[in-house]
Amino acid sequence: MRRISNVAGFGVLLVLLILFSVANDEGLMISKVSAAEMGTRSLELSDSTSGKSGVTYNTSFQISTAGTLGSVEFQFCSNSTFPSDVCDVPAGIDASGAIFTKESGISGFTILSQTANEIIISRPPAPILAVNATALFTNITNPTNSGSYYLRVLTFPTDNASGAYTDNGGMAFAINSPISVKATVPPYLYFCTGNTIAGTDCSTASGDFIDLGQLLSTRTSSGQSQMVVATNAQNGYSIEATGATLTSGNNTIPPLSADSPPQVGVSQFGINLRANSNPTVGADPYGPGNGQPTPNYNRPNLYRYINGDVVATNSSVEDGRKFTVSYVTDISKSQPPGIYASTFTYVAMGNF
Amino acid sequence: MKTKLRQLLRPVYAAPALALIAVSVLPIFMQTADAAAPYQVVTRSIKMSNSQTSAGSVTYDVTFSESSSSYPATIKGIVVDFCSTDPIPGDTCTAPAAPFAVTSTFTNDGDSVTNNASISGWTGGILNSGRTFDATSATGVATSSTAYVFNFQLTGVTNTATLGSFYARIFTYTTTAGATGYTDTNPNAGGGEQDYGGIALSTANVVDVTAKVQEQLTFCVYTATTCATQSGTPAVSLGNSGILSSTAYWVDNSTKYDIQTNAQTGATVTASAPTTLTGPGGATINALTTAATGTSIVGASEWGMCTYAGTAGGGTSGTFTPNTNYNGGTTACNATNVTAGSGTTSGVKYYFNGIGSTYGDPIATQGAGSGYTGNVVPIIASTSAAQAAGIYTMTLDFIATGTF
Repeated sequence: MRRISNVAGFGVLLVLLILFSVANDEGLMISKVSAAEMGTRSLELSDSTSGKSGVTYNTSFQISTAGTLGSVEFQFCSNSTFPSDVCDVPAGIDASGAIFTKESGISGFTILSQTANEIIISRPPAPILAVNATALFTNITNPTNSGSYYLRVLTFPTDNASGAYTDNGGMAFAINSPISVKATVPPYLYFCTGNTIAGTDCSTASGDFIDLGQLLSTRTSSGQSQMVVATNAQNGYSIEATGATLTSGNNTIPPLSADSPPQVGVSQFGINLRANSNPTVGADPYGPGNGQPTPNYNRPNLYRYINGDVVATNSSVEDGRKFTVSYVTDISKSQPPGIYASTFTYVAMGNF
Repeated sequence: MKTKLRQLLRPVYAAPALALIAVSVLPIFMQTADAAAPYQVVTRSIKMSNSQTSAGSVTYDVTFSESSSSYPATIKGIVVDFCSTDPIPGDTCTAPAAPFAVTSTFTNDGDSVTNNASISGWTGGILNSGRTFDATSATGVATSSTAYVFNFQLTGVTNTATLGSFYARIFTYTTTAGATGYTDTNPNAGGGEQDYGGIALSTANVVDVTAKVQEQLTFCVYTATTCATQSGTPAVSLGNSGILSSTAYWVDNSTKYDIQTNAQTGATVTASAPTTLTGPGGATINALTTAATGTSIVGASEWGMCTYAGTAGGGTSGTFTPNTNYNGGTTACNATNVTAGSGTTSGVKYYFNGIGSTYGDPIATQGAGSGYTGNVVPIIASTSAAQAAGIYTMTLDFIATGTF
């Protein structure tokens, strides 16, 4: 074999030798991070309203590195989650009065220090496994402005967050304006009268003329009408009856000024809003509402009439109520003849 | 003879030097005028799977072609000797600095080369305390009329700790004894040397690449056309001109939200309200804690909401999913089925169970991605005829929570 053995000669070649780095199949290498990144983590707010005080911040984070844990730092920033970056304090945030309310997965911690954007909780350093931990803080004031913000969570083996951290994790959270919702419920009064009304449906009201027939001194005459009322008046309503008693020219049938039963042969006129048996006329209040006749018109078989009296009322909203008005009259033998008539007007008033 | 040889060599040295300047890769050695074996292998290289100093478990992919003068021949031994000094056969070879070591293990995947001279099945070994690899086979590989390409992979190699160049010397033998008897100063000590060649390798600094991908959660709630055009506190007024009716429900479509996150487990949107719609004297219009259709709430004092997706962001938007209670039920809550304004008939179900809830009731989730904009929250309300008159108000708070 021939062999090139002149080392000096080859020295020249070596100087000119082109050295090549053989391609690295794996390409660029990613540098190793000295501390571990936390696993699954989140931050839950009880209220995301900008500037809101008394907000609860519930942090959950998965500790990656088992070892010694003495303190945990929570730092709020407006710019970045990375510990290597400067932390810009979110405007308006205030954790200086935060209360450390609850912990799980970790134990024995109390607040060591707190500022507007940082809370450090501490305990005597103790072993910790790689666990899921939570830390709940109340009484935090949100940042003033809407937008995205960040929380950095760092664990330390020391009890005062000094030295190198062990694990770190970042979270993003959002601050917003709430939605203001308004709705107006308009005042509402539903009222009708008629000889008859089906159910509480005013569209069925019919008739506005009651004929009491031939008045005799030997018997009581009667008739009835109905009225329906519904309202959302918060303070309820009242129904007033107005109109003169039965009149014929200068002659009248005297109205009963006090609750009285019918008296055959005595000239008198009265009403009530109840079901009666003497005579058989009228009906009790009907419907889902709670309205009632006023006391003077609320007793069966007793009648009265005073022009302008409130005959029915309710102190709150009425979800539909039908009242039946019973008209009862008697005459004496000396009652002057004639056609006796009257017009009764019922006025419902809602108290909003 | 020696002198003559030196004189002969100098111009020979100059030629390859000049050639090296002009060409990026050239054989390191120029063969003398002697045409007998050993011959210089050509097209030779060693590809390292990792050039980091002191890296372990590195694979060296060795490739070389026979010299055109070398075949036909039966190759029965191969030596690859690693030196820190030089690639020159016959020179003393100093091992690359510790922890450099080769092992006896190798593979032969051939790299799909044509005319692969496979050494699969050969016996691997090490010489010189892990400086030198050798492989032998009593049968060998018979190379015939075309140049054969050897390609095999030394596995489990540990790189030198020295940053920079080091060398490999490749030898082939027609006898197994030639490979096992190899010495650096006398490569042919065992006889049968057929081909030789030198290769330069280099360790290199690794390049640290750092890229920060920050946790992201973007969430905007608004009643304007877009988030950007929202001014002041977003406000909703329920009812025709803000007045509710007992004969028809009212649907408001103006509440919207944009959401985007890179949280790998996604983000959850929740809604809460400290109180329901409250009016004079503490009168309330209650939330639908049992989902109900628009048709069913006409004439009742109730309100509720549902939600549906807006426009997906570009690329991978992530999945937007309304929560089951807020997706409208059998008749989906969407732009087709939900009509803003007054109505009496709607099969879409509405719901709300976030009154006084600490963190709100979940209404939708958004997966990691470019997110969705303009997600709508239709709010429906109706009133009964007996509902106390007045102005009813409440505050709705939407919260997004990302799980990273």
